[in-house]
This record gives sequence, C-alpha cells and structure tokens, in this order.
Amino acid sequence: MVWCGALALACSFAPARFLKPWTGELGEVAWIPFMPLGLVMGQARAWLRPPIPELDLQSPLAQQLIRERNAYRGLYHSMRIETERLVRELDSVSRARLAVRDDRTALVPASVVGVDGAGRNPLIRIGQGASAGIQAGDVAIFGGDSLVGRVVSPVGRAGCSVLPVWSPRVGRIDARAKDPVGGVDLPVQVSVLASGSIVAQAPSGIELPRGTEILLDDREWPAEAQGMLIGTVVKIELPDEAPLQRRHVLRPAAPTKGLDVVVIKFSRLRTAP
Amino acid sequence: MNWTIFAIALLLVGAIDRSFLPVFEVRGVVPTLVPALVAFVAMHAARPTAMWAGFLCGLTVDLLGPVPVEGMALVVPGPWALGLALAAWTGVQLRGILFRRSPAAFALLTFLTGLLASLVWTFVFAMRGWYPGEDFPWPGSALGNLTTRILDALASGVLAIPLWWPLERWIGWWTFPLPALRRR
Repeated sequence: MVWCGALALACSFAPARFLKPWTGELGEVAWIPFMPLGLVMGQARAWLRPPIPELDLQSPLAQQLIRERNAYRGLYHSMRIETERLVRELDSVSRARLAVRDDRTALVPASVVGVDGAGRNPLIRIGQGASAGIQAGDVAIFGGDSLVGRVVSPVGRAGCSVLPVWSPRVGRIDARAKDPVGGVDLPVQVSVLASGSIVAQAPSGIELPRGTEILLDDREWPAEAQGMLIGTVVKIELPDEAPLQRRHVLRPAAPTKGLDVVVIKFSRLRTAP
Repeated sequence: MNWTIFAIALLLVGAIDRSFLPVFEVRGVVPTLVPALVAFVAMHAARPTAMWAGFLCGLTVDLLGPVPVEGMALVVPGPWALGLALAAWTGVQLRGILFRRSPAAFALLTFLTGLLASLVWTFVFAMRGWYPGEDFPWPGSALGNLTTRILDALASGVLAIPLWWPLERWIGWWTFPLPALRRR
C-alpha cells in the first residue's frame, strides 16, 4: 500500500511531459471494461435529457428565425397597446353611461389621434366625426364626468378637433364651486391665464378651500355638459393686480398629457345643422 | 471482503458515474457514486481492505477522467487515488462513532469522502498549476472549483441515501468480516 501510495504521489506531481507518453493509452485501456455499460448508460442519459443543438446565429435559418421573432414581438407589442387602449375606451364609455340615465344622450367614444398646436394652445384631434353624429359645440368628456372640452368646427366625416378647457382660447366659463365637506356652493368664473394655469375666481374675495370641485354651470355650453367636473382647487394665490381677490388655481379633472380616449356626449334629439 | 463483488460494483458505479449521472447536472454540480462505494466499504471492511478499495476506486476515476492540461486531455493517475485512499482511512477512523445501520450516517460519510478526495484533488492540481507550461484545469479560481466540488460531494451524499437500502439488503454478498474480527 505504501509503495502504491508513493507511486501515486509521484505520478500526481510528475510534470505533464513525463505522463503524456503512457497515461493516455493506460486510460484508454481502462475504459474497455466500462465501454458496453457506458454506451447503454449514455443512451439512457440522452433519452432522458436530450442534448440541445447549438444554433449558429449567423446561419440563414437563425437569421430568418431572428427576423420572425422580431416581427412577432413588434406585432405583440402593438396589439398589447391597442388592447390597452380599447380597455380604457370601454372603461371611459362605461363610466360615462353610468352618469347618463336617459336614452336621449348619445355617447361616442373617440381615440385621440393627435394634439395640434404645441405648448399652451392645444387642440386635440380625435378619430370620430360627422359620420358618428358629432357636431361643432359638442362636449368631450373623460372618465364619465371629467370635462375635456368642446368640439370645434370644422367637423370632418371621420375626424374633428376638441378645444380643451385648459386652452386660453376657451374664454371665461361660468361654473359652480362645490365642496360637499365644507358645504360650499358658489358661482365662480373659470379662465385660463396666459401662463397656462386654469384659475377660478369667487365673488367678493371669498376663499375656497383646497379640494373644492369646480363644476360647469354655463348656459352657453350644451345641456349635456352641465355639471361636468372642470377641476379641483389645488392652490390659492393673491393676484398683484387685485389684492383683495383670491385666485384659485385648479388642477384639470381630465389629464392634460397622455389623453388617449375621450367620449363625445350629445343629445339625440337635436336637429342637424 | 469479496473482491469480485467489489469489482462488479466498481464497474457499475464507474459506468454510471461517467455516462449516466451527468443527467442530474444542475449548474455544473454533478453527483457521483464512487464516494458512496468507498464510504460503504470503509464502514464495514478492515482498514487495509478499505484503503485498497479507496485507492482502486480513485485510480479508476483518475484513469477514466482525463484533465485538460496544456490544451490536451492528460490522464494523471494519482490525485483521486490518494484522495479516496485518505478518505477511506478517515472513514475507518470515524465509523466507530457512527450508527452504521443508518442511512443518514452513510450519507454523511459519503459527503466527507467526497469532500476529502476533492480537497486532495484540488490541492494537487493547484500545485501543478505552478509548473511552467501547465495551467489550472478549471476556469476561475481554485476556491471556486473547490466550492463546486464540495457541492458535488453534497449531491453525492444525498444520492447515497436511496443507495443505502440495496447495499444493506445485499450486504451478505460482500462477506465483510464480523465487527469483532475486524482489524481496526
């Protein structure tokens, strides 16, 4: 045992050039009795866990597979985005329908296809028009009760533009400030400053509490738009030109950025223009 | 000990280790049956027999598994032979404090056998790595290789648990000496 151990120790530390000439052949001879059983075991292993063929990424087949994968990936992402948009559209219509309890009001969902006029004079372009019954002056809402704006002329057959309430071109809007908690119910005037802020002014310098909801109450707007939420008071300022007045800065109820679906609301009983 | 039975067992274990057990490979960790065979013999045979059995098992592993050195497969007869002979000697020393009829003790001794043999193997090739023209036969550090080998030993220990029942069932074939007659 000692001699065998010493020999094994010598072989373990012998440089490769001394081992190369004879140990390789010794290993091959040692494999002979293990070969038949090894072949059977190897086949069993290959059957249980087949080897995965390596694919040359530069081969035409691999390139074609990569192109197909990219195409389907793109298709998948576009369909996912479209599905999400349709779900939001459905949700918006459902919520708007909950708010409308009569059959005389029509609700037309419309996708936002673009925003014209960059900066502080936006004009929202939607993908529905006269063929869906939309006319200039109709009201656009979001999420059931949030006011987006009004349809402006010209109205095309398959598209039109909406002037949002956060555009300075809307002018003054009569509204009511309602705070269910504080019991506030006052007429206010909403306007858009040149800076782009939507502000509400209450009479006689009354200060509205933060969180007060500003609802549309303007006879110049269609009946379907009355009571829609314009925004919520988030900040109170003292204007330099009228220190006794309070300027209530509103956060618009509808999202000013990223709006992708609106619902056009109009009366079915109205006459054609 | 019946050496014919041992030779048949070694033939089976060697073929299964080399050709079949890689099917259980997980992140480079592969269990082997040779440490279980050495541990089984070390638990029951006399010390010289156990050491010879460990040496022969190790020599078989050395001869069947060449090592990549200098861009070629080099067979180095010795590291596993020394490691498993040392492990068998350790097993003989430890068996007095182990419950031999317990699969857990068998699994523990299998793990220790694999661990000791791996330490010797890694030490030998870490030393050889310093030779001019020779490099280490593992990617990365010796410690990383040792970690993988320890995990191999752990997997071998786990695999030894189901192996305990057939070995115990046919222990009579091995004709191990009675404990009272066995030389320590």
